Amino acid sequence: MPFRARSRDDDSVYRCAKLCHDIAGEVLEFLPHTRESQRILVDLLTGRLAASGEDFPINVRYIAETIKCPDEYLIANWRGSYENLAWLMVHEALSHFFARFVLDNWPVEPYLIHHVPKSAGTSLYELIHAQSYFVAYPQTTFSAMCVTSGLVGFPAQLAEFERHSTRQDRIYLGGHFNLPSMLDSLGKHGNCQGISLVRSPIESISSAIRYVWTLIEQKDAAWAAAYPSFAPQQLTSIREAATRSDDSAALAAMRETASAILQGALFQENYDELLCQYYYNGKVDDPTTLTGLLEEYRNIVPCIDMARDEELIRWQLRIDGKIPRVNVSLLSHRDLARAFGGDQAFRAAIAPRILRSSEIYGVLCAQHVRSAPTAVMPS
Amino acid sequence: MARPIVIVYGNCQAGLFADSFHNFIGSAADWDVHYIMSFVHPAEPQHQVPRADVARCALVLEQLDNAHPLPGWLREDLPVNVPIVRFPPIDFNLLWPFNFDDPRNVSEPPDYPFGRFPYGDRVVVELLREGLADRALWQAYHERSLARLPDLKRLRGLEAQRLVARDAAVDIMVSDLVLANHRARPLFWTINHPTGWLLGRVLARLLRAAQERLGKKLDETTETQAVELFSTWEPFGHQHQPIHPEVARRLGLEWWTPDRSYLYFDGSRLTFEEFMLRYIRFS
Repeated sequence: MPFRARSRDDDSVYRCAKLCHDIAGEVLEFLPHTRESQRILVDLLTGRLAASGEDFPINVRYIAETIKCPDEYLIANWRGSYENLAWLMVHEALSHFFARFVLDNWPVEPYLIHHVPKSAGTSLYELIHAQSYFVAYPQTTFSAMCVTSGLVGFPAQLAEFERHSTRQDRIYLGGHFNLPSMLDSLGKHGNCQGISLVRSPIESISSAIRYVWTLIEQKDAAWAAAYPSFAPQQLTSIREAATRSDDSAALAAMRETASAILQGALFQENYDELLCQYYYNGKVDDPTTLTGLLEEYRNIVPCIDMARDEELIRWQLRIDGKIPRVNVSLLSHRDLARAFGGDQAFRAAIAPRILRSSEIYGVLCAQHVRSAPTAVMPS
Repeated sequence: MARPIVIVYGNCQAGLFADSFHNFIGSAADWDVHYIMSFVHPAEPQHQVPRADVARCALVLEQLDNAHPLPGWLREDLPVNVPIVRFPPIDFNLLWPFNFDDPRNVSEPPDYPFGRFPYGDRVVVELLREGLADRALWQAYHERSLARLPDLKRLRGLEAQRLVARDAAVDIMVSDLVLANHRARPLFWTINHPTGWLLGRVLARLLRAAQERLGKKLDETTETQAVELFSTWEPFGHQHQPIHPEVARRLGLEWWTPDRSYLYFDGSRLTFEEFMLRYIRFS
């Protein structure tokens, strides 16, 4: 599918990004993902863009209002210089804008994959990639851009999207994002087909505890630093002892460790009332407005169980094949719940952390029941 | 009509490129090329460029050298608006993290103008200072060099930053060629002596830039010819710097094999151990 610029600004961004990828594409793999590397790349791109002699006129309003770049310094100092252009090309805001840019300038069909963390949907993206479709992810921070698309996010995504092996008739918008805000930002494109992948709040918290436990055991820098009193080996011993026997002291040690994980500030910031972060925003903030939103966007179907809803997911996303399963946790939900005295006791311990999330989950379950049959069996 | 004067300034690589320009048919053969060294060669005198030639110079190809920039006398005599194409020195430290100027190494013209071992090893020098010698030093080297080996992934990142930052200051880019290809093929005999594969591609870029600046019609075959010129010619291949096997392994160098041999000045082909023993003995 050929690129057809909707505006002069789009045309300039497209040409500039292609040139920047030609310039820097070969070195990106080797540069550390740091601000220092970003500055070095800007110096390189500035000189090469200038040497090209090409003009890339981009209006500052396009940067502020269309890209919605929050960088006040770049906007205030925008002169359209080659240095300005180079900074724009490496900016996470432009990288975040990529999906919208594609929707505006190619005749593509969008599919939305709203993925609440800890909903076991990571392997779904493998299946979509395997079918040669492009998946765009939200990139609201520098580190998110680097992890997802590298140091020059927009040009790298453009190169990948235009690669011969990539099918350009669709684009999948995936990842962890706030659903109402995303639908709002998509404008008319929000009426696309898609799924909202979620699990019950209890299962999500259980998954989060086991995920963090696993990462601490594996010496993950961020999570290990959040729990300085935990030694990885100590967690391994506790886990092995509690999963091998019914010894009450071993189970108590696991429960205490899990409770300590729950008390961590980083954990609470990421996982307490998890569903609120992904379904509520300034406009949608209670079950009624959420129901209204889901009624309005009826093509976005909640999927509340990855295994049970596999057929529904395939139908909604128009993909084929079995969705591969990935489970990296060293600890099962059964073993974790057992340490708390069973499922009921675990639910009781977690309940105060998921009050509003449970409310949201109720709305999603109701919508799931309504949507599933019509989505799977279209008349 | 007088042929345009092109002045090439830089290290031995620049000298090689200046000489190589004469190999090209078509527009490049119409140039008069002068080479000016950016360093003092222990055995070769500086080439003198007549002031009249400098005054009608049409293009300068300047190899970036922060310590020895284009000399003032040359800059003053050049035409005011003469175009200057800057290109970087071609070097790569990643394969030789222990590279060091061995204090035992001194110029011995005419056979060894840059000394017997211009590329030393800091772990060897460290062990020499501890009083070890010969095979005892070599035995100690195994353990010490592994202990001293830096994090090569981090070193590669720093090296990439250095190369890209330097490319930002010049007109001809080289970092992409080096970084994208170093695992797949040998690009350097020593830290600053590129192989023919790399020389050909850099020369192609230089020729293209020179043709553009001189307003010459771009010869479609120039790049192929430049690559072809060095496909069977290794002007820097007379002297190798051995690669530590663990460095090769950790970097995943696809072209490296444990039995790889390295050439010494006298034509001997030596394994890593044989080369290191000769270097340790400084024989």
